[in-house]
Amino acid sequence: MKTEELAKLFSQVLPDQCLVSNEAALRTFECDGLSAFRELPGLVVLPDNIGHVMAALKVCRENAIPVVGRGAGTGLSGGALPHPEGIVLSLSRMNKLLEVDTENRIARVEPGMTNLKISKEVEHLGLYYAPDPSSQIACSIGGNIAENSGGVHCLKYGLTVHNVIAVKVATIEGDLIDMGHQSLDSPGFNLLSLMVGSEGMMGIVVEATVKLLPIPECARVVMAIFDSVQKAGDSVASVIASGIIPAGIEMMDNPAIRAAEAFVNAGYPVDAKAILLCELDGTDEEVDHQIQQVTQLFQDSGANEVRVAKDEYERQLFWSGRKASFPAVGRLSPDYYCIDGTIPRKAIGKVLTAIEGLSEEYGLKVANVFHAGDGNLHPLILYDARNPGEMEKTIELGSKILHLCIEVGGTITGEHGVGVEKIGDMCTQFTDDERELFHAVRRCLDPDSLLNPGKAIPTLARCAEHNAMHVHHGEVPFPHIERF
Amino acid sequence: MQETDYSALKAELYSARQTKQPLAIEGGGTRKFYGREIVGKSLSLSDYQGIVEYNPTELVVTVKAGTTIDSLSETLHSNQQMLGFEPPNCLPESTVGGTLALGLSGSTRPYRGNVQDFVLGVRLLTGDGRNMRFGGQVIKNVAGFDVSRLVVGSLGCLGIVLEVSFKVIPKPECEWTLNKEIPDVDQAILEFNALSGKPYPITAAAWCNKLAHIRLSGSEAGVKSAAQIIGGSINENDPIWEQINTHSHPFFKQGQKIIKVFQKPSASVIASHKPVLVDWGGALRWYREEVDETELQLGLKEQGGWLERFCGADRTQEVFSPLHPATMRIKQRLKDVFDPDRILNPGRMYSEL
Repeated sequence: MKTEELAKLFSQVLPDQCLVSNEAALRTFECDGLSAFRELPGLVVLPDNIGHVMAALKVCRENAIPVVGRGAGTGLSGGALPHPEGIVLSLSRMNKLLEVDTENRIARVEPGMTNLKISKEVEHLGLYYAPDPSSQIACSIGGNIAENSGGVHCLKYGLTVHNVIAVKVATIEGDLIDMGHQSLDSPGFNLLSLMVGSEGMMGIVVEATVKLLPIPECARVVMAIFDSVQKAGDSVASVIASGIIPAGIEMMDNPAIRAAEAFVNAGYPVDAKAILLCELDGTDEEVDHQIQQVTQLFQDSGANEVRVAKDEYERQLFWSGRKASFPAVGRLSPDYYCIDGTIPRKAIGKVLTAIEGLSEEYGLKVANVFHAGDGNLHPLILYDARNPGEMEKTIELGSKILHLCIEVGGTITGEHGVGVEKIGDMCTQFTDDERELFHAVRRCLDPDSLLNPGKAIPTLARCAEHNAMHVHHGEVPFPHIERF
Repeated sequence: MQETDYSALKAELYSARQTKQPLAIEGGGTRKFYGREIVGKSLSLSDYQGIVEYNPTELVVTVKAGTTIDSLSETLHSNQQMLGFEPPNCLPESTVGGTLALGLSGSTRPYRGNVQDFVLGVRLLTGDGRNMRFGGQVIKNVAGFDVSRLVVGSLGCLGIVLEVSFKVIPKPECEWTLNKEIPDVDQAILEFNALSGKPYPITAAAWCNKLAHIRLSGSEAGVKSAAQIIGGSINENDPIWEQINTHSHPFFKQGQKIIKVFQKPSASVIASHKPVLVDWGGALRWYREEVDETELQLGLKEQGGWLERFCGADRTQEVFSPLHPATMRIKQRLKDVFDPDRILNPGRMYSEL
């Protein structure tokens, strides 16, 4: 449907200030954080309340108009890429804190509220919301739920799915449904888990109840410096084996260290092959004790040096390089492409070595920054989109890295979602049966497939095409994976 | 890693489909009292036992559904690890598959999480015989819809879980329980919730017979310092946790009918007959048969919450709180996707599923 027709339809049920139809304004919504994919939406709807959302969905249902839900537009997999014939339903105006229940340590929020704002609002109560994707200053809780976002502290505190206890969902069929319950568990099939991470394909979250945790009494960070990536990887395993679960354990390889150091002067050793940043939190006594333990473990694993941040200033300094590593890498190259696979920790050394080989093969530099504690890699491929063919080469290299992740028992996405970006790679990770079941499950909530169509789960036809492109010596990739 | 041959199970399922014969999926057969009445021919998973893969440093174990909780726990304990949700384990025959199907979490539920919080992936045989894998063996994984967590607590109505991958956690270095005399249950609930808002390493809180039990787990230094602040008498090995976990607590022996009530942790108690046992830091209240169920239902309607007729109820009727019609409609559709002939544990959870 054309913009004028859409505007006419929606203006019958929604006030004008909720509709965006002029082309210049529509441009703002043409992509999310994955800017390589762009599409102008037919219309943007900005609801102020649940009534507006329900009214918009009703129009979509009655006229078979595709709906792309959007939070803050910070997603990295193109999950909020608009549909040219449909609407973008942007929840950014529904951003209020509805209730803080201190006794039960929960907050009820609207979907457009930013992740960090939740923690800021409850800080004075000694509480916070744990999942902390690096975009937390801008990303919204509704988007986090759609993507099941993670962050630095997942190993100890879990992903979004572990920290949201209930959602109110507006369905395309016109119902307002509660999933999950403030009483912790809820009866019947577990729809809440299904909703979290469903990439806007099952309903529109109009309210969320999130878990708040007591702010730890103390948090301290240790930096361990290694002359080999393998040693750094192995030392992560030895920390875990010792029974310590760090609040976060992050790894950077040499290109990432150099880029970050040049950018923020965090005091990183630029000759090191890898560094680990290991944060421990808890009571003062507990943290003191664990700092001693991990220091010893890193030394036993062959660390050249172990530095403990002596105060909060130094802790922030250690972290500043890690936190700025993406923009830091961005300074080295006109463009970079962030990959998001997860692998078993034991494969860290093997996979990083293989990535190094691929980097040489493709002639594209790769810097690695990742959540080592849970094996979530973020290789950053440096490229220059102005050079003809380089973007395509980059995407192909990215896909090879993801296939490597599957090969060692991992997954193509740890926290960024599939969206449009990794839809082809889904053909490798899941069988036809599994993907067909996903489609069938989605139709239980969205019978006409109007919600975010074409994302996350590829069709059989698309996979046939994808696999045909990747046949090597007459074999599909990973023939040992059951397919039919 | 050797692939397990599930062809015998598939054949049984195939023949049941041909004759539309309902199947009653069975693990260790220790919770036949649970849910609505059992119909159909027994389909046992007890032949499918064993650990498929376990790497302690990955904090992940993959196990066949017929494996007993006891034997899995033993393997984990020998590596100083444990299942984070402390599965209730009423008899030694209780299995991983049964625990998953019932979605049962132990006393630690509000602090460390419930069953689905620790499930990373499943291998599932659907009612129409498709053998599929969802999720995986890594902690962070957002590829595809989260079917592995959807099936937790579905009472076998969505498929036969063949294998499960769990995230496991290290066993704490030190564990103490603080006992405090608190005669009034509402007062105990208040205290639990005040403490839960503080950064102490609390991993369980229960109340029974005028005594509050608050468990602390973690490093010795952390536990000791928190114990000093919270107060109460220190019990290094409080039997209550084992008693609740194995249902050997006197509460479970007296009286036939038992009702579980789930509420917000801080909600004040409803009935004039107060709960006998409170667990989950106040979020789970156990009642015996003398409770006035009508009064309970009314209170839950007002305050929010739901109940489960845990055992001793009329199993031809519903035993779980009713669902919103729109939610039930979605769940019925899911049932049709996973089990189109409706032969897997039909009606065990709700008559419509």
